[in-house]
Amino acid sequence: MINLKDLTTLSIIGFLVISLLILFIGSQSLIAFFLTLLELLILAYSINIITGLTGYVDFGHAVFYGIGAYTTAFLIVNINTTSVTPYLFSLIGGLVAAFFALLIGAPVLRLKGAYFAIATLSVSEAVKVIISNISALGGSYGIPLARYVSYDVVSAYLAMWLTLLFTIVLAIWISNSKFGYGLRAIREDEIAANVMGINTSLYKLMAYVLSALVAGVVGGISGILYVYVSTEYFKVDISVKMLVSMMLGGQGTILGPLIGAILYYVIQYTLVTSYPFLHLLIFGTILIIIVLFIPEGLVGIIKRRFKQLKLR
Amino acid sequence: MVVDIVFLQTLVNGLLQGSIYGLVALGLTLIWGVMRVINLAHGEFIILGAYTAFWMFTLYSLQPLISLLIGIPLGFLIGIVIYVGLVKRVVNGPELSSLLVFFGLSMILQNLMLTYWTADVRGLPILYASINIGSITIVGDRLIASVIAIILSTFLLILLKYTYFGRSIRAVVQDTDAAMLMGVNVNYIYAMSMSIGIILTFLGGILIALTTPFTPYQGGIYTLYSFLIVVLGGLGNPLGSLFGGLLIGIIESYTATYWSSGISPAVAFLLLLLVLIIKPEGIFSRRR
Amino acid sequence: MNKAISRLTAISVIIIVILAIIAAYFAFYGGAPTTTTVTTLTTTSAVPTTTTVTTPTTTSIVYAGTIKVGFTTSVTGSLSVEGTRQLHGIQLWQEWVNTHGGIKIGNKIYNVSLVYYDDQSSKDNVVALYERLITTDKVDFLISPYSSGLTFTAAAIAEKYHKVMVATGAASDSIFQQGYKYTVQLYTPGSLYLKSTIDLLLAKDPNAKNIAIIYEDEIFAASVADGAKKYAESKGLNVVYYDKYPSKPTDLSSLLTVIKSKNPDAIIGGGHFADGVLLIKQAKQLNVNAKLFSIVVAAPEDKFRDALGADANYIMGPSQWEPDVKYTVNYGPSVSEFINMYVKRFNETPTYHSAGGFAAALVLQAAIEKAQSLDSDKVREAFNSLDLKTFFGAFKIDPTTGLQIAHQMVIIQWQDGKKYTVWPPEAASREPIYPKPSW
Repeated sequence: MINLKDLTTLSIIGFLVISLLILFIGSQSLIAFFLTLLELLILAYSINIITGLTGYVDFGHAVFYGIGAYTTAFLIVNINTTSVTPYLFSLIGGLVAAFFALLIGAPVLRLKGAYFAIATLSVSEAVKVIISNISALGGSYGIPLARYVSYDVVSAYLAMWLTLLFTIVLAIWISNSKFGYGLRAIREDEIAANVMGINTSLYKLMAYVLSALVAGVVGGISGILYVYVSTEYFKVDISVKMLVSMMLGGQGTILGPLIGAILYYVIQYTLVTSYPFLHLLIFGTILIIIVLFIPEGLVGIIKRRFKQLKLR
Repeated sequence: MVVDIVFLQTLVNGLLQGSIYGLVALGLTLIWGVMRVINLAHGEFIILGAYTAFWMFTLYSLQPLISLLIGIPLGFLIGIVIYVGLVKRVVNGPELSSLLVFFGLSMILQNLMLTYWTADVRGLPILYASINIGSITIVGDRLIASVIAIILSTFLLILLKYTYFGRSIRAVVQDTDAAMLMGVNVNYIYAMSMSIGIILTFLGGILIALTTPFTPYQGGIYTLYSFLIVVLGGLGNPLGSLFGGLLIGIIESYTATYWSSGISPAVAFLLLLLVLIIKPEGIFSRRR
Repeated sequence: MNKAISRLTAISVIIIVILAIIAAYFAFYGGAPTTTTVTTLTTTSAVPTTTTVTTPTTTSIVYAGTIKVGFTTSVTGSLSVEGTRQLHGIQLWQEWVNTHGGIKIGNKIYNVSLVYYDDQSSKDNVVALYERLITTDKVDFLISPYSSGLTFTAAAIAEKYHKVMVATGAASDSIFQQGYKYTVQLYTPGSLYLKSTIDLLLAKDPNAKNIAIIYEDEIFAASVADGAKKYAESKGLNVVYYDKYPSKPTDLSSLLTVIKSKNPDAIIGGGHFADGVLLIKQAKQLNVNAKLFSIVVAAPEDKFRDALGADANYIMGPSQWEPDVKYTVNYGPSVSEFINMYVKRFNETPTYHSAGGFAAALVLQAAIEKAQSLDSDKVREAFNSLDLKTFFGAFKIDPTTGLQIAHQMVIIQWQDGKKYTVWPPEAASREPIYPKPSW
């Protein structure tokens, strides 16, 4: 009899194994399909670290994605990469994004609720405009990379998969650590958490920085995959995509972003290919229904109904 | 001499554009201020208002200023429907819920407008001549929009400060439970705030049609700027919204003239960040 | 507040999830392509994602095979207007080829089918969709997405699989500086968009001195402005104002105020539809005069005149093609033949987006016929020696980069509420009016 008690671990390991297998036995277009899914997954996990766990709605998370992408592209163009894989630069992209989060995190995280959301959105939009005015970063043209890296789905897939692995391990570690409990305490009642001795400013900042690191790395890998980086990477649609995916699955959980991103991607892909003119309408309706009736996401529902399943 | 004219003209431009910003943000300051819901569909309501003015003009030769009168019952109706259908359920929930619900609504509205009215750019012809004072030009339709902006902000201010209804609203904002204990029908207040907010937004949209060409994709920009201005001016503060708009308008104008138009949004956003960090309640509100 | 959920709700949700996954599986692997003929597209009907051959009824031709052309276009998203028109052009080509004897290679005749998807003007699905077109749908040739940004990626994918791609829409020069060997360009590149405007200005007014150039903050508009600046300076003009404005602007009055103070002879540039209209409207309101206005993208649109009324008069704009051009043709349908076909099929006059779609596929056809082969390398080689004059204009590419070197922009001008091609003189249907009278 299958031990369903730790469904979470089962699902995660299952998904990781399947997605790795796809790389070896799947068709090219299936791999490409999964690749975009992996990207969304990692981003959903990324925003889960800050918004899911602390409850601070980061509405400008795409800024880290974009900074990671631009850093990577800039390095690729300006540094001779014949001896080292360009994906190394995406790690640096993640670090630069994390550093940026460190810089703006302190002031911005003092804000609450909607103010925080608007502030993060402003940061994202401001950075977008500023970058398109810096010619060293491509200005309005963006940074085409075809002369420096070749388009390669397989290596991008591996890079994404490894990042996903790292991110999930990170998520599990955070969840089970004192840090994670502290973050959740902040979401429940920040004042009480403070009173209990949790250094809320530090914890929030750490969560923000970690989430930025992940998003930055993904941005870098993306830039290499698409062989082109532009201010499109800062679009608010990307931030929203991450939030919706996370919410669909259940924010603050470990399984949530996995399920939510898969669901979001699948629904979106189906709608776009089947209803080219109305998919926005349908998607908006679905979104509203989900938010109104299943606010804790799928994981929340399953948890409530099937209490005997251990879901985290 | 040339520099002086440019300097003054920039000021005029900034004030005019700024009052339009303030005008379109008015509805949001009420909705967000009272119900604490993040209406991401705000821009789409503005564009809906703009389309209303456009079709009234194109099909029935109705002047936009007359369309304002139509905008009132229309906006009211839509406001009530949205409140009962959607807002009521998210009004006391977490921000993420209202954010996503309104985002879904904005997608729906955008798709509907695209499907029925296409993505073609729409605009009204120039209906009011510009006024020239020396070498300074004051654009006619923007001047009218500014005047209406002032009228509407004042109206909202009077409503909030001097009427019983307004006091009820402020009571609900301060302490919902206490207001209920005092006999205020919170549901009714929320519904009315939503409706008045949508009415104001619609009227703003009608004036946008008068002054600026638009497409269904234009909503996002107005949403973004409106949020900026509401935060700047303070939630629920009508005059603050107007002054916040003026401030942004002037800053963008001078940035465009003396630096580059391309960077002006960044300057506006950075200003907002500064305000949020230093005085989140807004420049123009009193610290509670 | 934790309400209890009924078992029913929970199970329904899980079933919905499973159904969604199954639906996606089928959507992904697409069922059989729909076999109906393409119906006239209205905005509310669903667009079939694949179209197959419409076999001509009277023929006894036996087709040796089908040539598949694949692409993505912006059916929805910010470029949906342009993308849909381009799609119509390509669809019209398919029908035209299949009813005019197909494509002949040796003594074999092939018909043509199209496979396309909506890229939503967004980069997200470009990789998945082009991989799918090439590896699952196994298309023989590609047409680029409409957007320049997406084409950087699509061209790289075409490169990997050695598939020839005709770039239409995507006009930015930098695409053709990336070393892509398999992508060829149909449109006049962005940097040359305003070249003919400057030529017109200098032809009409050799004493013209000052010019103001403005552009939207976006890759295509930037390449247009940059090219215009370089060309203007090379012709001895003074660029007295050069600035970009943010995407989707709601106010250009300060920009115009500064331009007014510099008193240029010409004001050129632009971005997309709404900002082009805004520019002219505010120019009038602020009494900013110039002897020549040339606004890209917006001015050649009929909606430009609808939105501005009489204020649109005298405004010029560069266009890749216009219905009233006078071109002599040595390959494919004539200008009037194309227009008649299009009007009959889609019930509206074609714009340059539609013409470009048709022409992109047409030049591909020419290359295949020249190569007498479906092999990508041979077809790409054939492109190098093509020197066509189609209804769309001249076509000749630079062999190394694939950049378009022969096609010229035409310039339109609104006169008496109607749009006329006024330049170059050999293609014009009317004389340009210069200078523009004051507002």
